[in-house]
This record gives sequence, C-alpha cells and structure tokens, in this order.
Amino acid sequence: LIKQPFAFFLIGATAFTVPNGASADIWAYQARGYLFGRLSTYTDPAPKDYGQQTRVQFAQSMDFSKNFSALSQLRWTSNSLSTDLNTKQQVLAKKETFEIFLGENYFKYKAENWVAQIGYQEVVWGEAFGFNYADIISPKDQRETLYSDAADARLPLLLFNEKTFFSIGDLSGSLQLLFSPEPRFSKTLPIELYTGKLLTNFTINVNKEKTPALFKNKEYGGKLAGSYGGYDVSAFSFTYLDRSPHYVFESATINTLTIKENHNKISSQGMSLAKSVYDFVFRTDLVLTNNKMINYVDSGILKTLTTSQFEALVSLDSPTFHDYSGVLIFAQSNLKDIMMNSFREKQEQYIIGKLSKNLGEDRTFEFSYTHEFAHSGHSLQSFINWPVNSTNDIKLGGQFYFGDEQSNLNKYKKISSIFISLKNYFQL
Amino acid sequence: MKLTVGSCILAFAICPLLIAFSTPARAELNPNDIVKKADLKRGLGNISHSFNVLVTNQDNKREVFHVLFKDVNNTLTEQTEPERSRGRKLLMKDYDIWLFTPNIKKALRISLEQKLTGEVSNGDIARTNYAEDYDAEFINADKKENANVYHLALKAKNKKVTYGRIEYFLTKKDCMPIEATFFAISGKPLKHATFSEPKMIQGLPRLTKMVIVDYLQKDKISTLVFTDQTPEKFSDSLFNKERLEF
Repeated sequence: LIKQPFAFFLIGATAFTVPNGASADIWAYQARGYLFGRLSTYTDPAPKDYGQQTRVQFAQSMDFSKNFSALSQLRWTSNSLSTDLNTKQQVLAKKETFEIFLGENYFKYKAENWVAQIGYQEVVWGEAFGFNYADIISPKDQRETLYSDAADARLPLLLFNEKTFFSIGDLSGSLQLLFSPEPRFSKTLPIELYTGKLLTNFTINVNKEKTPALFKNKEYGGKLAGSYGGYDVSAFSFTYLDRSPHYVFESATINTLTIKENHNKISSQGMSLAKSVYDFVFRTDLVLTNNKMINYVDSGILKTLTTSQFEALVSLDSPTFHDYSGVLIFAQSNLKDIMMNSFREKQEQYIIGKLSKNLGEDRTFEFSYTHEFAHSGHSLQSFINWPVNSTNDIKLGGQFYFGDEQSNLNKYKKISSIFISLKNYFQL
Repeated sequence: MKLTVGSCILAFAICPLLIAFSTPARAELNPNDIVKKADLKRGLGNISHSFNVLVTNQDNKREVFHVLFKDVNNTLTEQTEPERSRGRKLLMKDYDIWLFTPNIKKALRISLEQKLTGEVSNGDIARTNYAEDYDAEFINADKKENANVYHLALKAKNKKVTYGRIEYFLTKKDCMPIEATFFAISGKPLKHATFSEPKMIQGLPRLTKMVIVDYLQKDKISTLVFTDQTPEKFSDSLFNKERLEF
C-alpha cells in the first residue's frame, strides 16, 4: 500500500465519498468481487505437491457524476506454482507464493468524444488471443499464464491513459495515448525454467530488480485504431522497460551463482487486424520489438546479446455448429540474431487447436492442444465449466505437459495435474 | 339527343351501381409494410431509445441486459446480472458485432449467430427490426385463436442476418405479432417464439414478452421481458468499438 500512494489516496477518498441519503440519486457506490480456490493433484512426481491456488478480489466502484467515476480494487493471491516448479529445493521468498496488493485503482472522466483514466490500470492491445503478443502494456504474473485467463495474469500499471474517438463516414476509430512514470515488471517463474540445462551445476540466486522510483523512468506510446468495411485494424507503438528480465552476473562460489535481474528499455511497434469471413473470424497480431536482450552462456560465463524480436500470430475462429465451436491459432516468435547456448531458441513456433461445446445452461466443455515445433513439446488441457447457480462456478479439468526434454512445454511437466476449482461472485 | 324522364331515371338508377362496382376493393397491405408495422408492436421502432430485457430460463436462472438503441444499425447491450457476467457488452454496427468482457478487457469481433444466453441469440435482443433484415411474402391467410391472422414468410436479405428464414404469424386487425418460427440459413428449424403481454408504451400498444422454445428440445425455454423503454439521444462515440472498455 505504501508503495502506491496514489491508490492509497483513492481508497481513502472512497471511504469519505460513499453516498448518503439526499445525494444518493447523483452518487452511486457498488462493492463487489470474487473468491476463487483451486485444488490440484499432480500426475507426475513433484518434490512438493502443493498444487494450491486461491485468489480474492474486492472492488469498489464509485460514480461521482454522470462523467466522473473511480474504481478501487484490492487483491489477494496465493499460488504454489513457483514452489512446485522449483527444482533446487530452495526456500523461496514468501511473496513468491502469497501476496496482498492493490489491483486497478483509477479515476475516470468520460466526455462525449474522449475518455481519460489516471491511476493503476490494465490496458490490453491486440485482436488475437492464445499467445497475447500484442498485450505489451501490463506486466504479467507468469504463474498464471499457463492455464488461467489472461486477466488473472495481468498486473496494473500506473498510467495516464487518454483515448479520443472519431468517425468519418463509415469509418470509426480512436487514438489512444499512454504515459507511465512508474514502470513495473512481470512476476517471473523460477530461474531454472529459463536457463534450462545451461547452468545446472550451480544453485542460482537471483536478485530481483525493484520497481523504479516514480519519474525515474518514463514509458510512453499510443495506438491508432479503426473499423471499416468489416475490418478492425490498429497500429501501435510503445517504449518501455522490458517486462521480462535479462540477467547479469554478480558473484559466484564453487556451487552458487548469484545473478541480478535487469530490465532494459525496449520499443515495440505492431499492428493488429480482425475480419469476419462469412461466419468465421480471422485475427492477426504482428509485433516487432527492438533492443531485446537475450542471455546466453559462453565458456561458463553468463552474457547478453542485444537483438530484435518479431512475433506473429494468426488465428481463425469457426462458427458454432451443433453447439461446437473451434479456434485454430498459429504463433511464431523470431529473434534476428542468436548465440549458442541461449536461454531461448531463435525461432519458436506453436500451433493451438481449441474446441468448445456448449452443454446448455451456460455449461461449457473445452479441449485444447498446443504443439511446440522447435523441440516437439505438447500440452493438453481440458475442462468443464459448470455455473451451479447465479453466484458459483465449478471448473473440473486436467492439464498435461510433455514432449522433448528441451521443449518449453516439457518444462512444466511436473505440474501436469487434474484440478477442481470454485469461484464465487459476490456483491455487497 | 332528347332527354326523356325515363332515361333520367335509368341514369340515376345505374350510376350508383356503376360507382359501387367501380370502387376498388379495400387495399391489402404489402407484406413488407405489415412487418414494418409489426416491428413497432415489439419495440419503439427506429427511434433512439433505451430499454431493459430480463431473460429467464426453464430453471428460473435470470439475466438482465440494458440496451441502448440509437438506430437499427447501432445497438449497444450491456449485461447487468448475474454478477459473473456484469459488464459484458455487445456492440452491433450494421452487421458487425463485438463482444467485450471485463476479464478479456478488449472488444473482440464475433459472428452474429453466436448465442448470447440460453436460447437467445445476439440478434434476438440487439437486432429486432425484421423489416430491415428480411423480405416478406404471404404464405396464406390463416385463423389462429379465432382471430384473422397474416401468415408470412420472411426471407433473409443477406447471409449476415441472425436467421435464414422466419415464419411469422400476426393479427390482421392491427399487425400484432403472435408467434414466429426461426430457421437457420440451411433451412433447419431452430426455435419457436410466442409474443404476448401488450402494454401501452409511448402511445402505442406494444408486446413486452417473448417466449423462445428450442425447436427440438421443447424443455429448453427462454422468456424475455422488455421494460423501461425510454426515448433517449446517444452520441455516435458510444457505438465505437474502441469505447467498449470504458
């Protein structure tokens, strides 16, 4: 709370602005949220079989007038995934498994042709889903990116966010401008997930990079978007500190290596497109990122290479046929240059097939398969989502990772599991 | 020519008969005009307005939507109940449709035929002016519940509309919709709807209830109740896909 003075102020302001009696027709206040719990049983032997996850979100929304409003969220998250994936039996910091933090906390002003939001918020770009290459603004909790909704993985960023809307004939669109005085970083998984078999002789200690002080670093960018003749097109650019770290050597002993996280300034440019083709929907996201730093190991020494990264995703959503619908996604991430013994491959390619069946009464069955090309990795996920009543959802399913030892997907093999989760929505 | 008394009497006698037989029969309404009139019995027509829709299914699960209708080509639907679906928005501009959900946080283009909830398609709430989307023709005059009715076949003007064909029954007296059967583009029957509970709204009797039953599984029922129809002006930017996240 102390690290987010703006949000702290907002929560305080909220407490004093809750309406009473006479002004209740002008002011509106709502408090709502959800409770989520998930239990897993790992199907592969794991050193610590926790498989637990709980998440709570409490949100207050306030309408001060027709145009002026605020949102204030408090989140709790407890997730054993980092511990479960930790192969070195190291003791992880408590915040790797449990945190209470402020979610989105912002003021919003809506005019006829523009909207401005200031505060901690999540902004999403791109037309596609599956691999959210264009979702570059908000940092992510990478413990959540494997099987959860992208929304659960997204973390808020302090932003001034202004969007102006326009229409010229049949063309409608917007220009969005973003400025952040306080870059934030993604929450990463245990380092072994990134180093693979490159530094297996050491126990690696990682010194995390702290969030930079306010206005020490600035991030900025914008997006121009338009819809015309059945096409949704956008072009965007953002200059920011890399949400994922690269690592630099700090010190070493015979069996311990201490490295430090660094996040260098990068710049991404891209475009997105969506188009209905009969009852199918075609989507694509293309993103070019410059100054990306990639770690590699040369003669036992940890080094970095600066290069460019190009990411592309194309997908096709099928129409519903006898309550079945499907999505086919192809995603590719390319580095311009690569060194031997790098933390990642020069080219990573995935194909994802998703099949959903509407079981009626909002119950859905989903099955998805992900194939990784570089080293033949595989992932299967399947679940039934069952809204048991107006406030509770049960999800029952399984997720399995396997394949070549060098594949990215096989790195998650030990968290292959069957799971059950319960989500309760409440309004106070 | 000499006019006689007899010829004058004959002329007076024949004229009314000629007039009577030469008066055209009472004009039958064009089927498309009937559909236009009927659209006004199911909503406020093409007037900019807002309304609420309460949808309940056979298990009494309820969902509530608030709809902003600027014109037939600009409709914004926001779900307000249940809590899990609060904030879902559906924007329709012409035949383009986008879905915004608070967890995805971006508006995604989807196809018109995707179901909104239960037996209810997006078009059942957001695109209800049949005259705009379908060409009508008479099937035959029929009698239902002792009232003279029109029996019309509505054929989709293009493949982008919600249904391929609708069989539509309306009262002959005031073009009040009675029931409809909806068919897919392939011709397969999808669902059957009955319209009821007329109420005086903005000076006209309008139907406020629609019960939709799955054509094959008759136990799958969705009931739509339309309320709070209020004329209201909206700015164009409210119907901009890029504004849905706000």
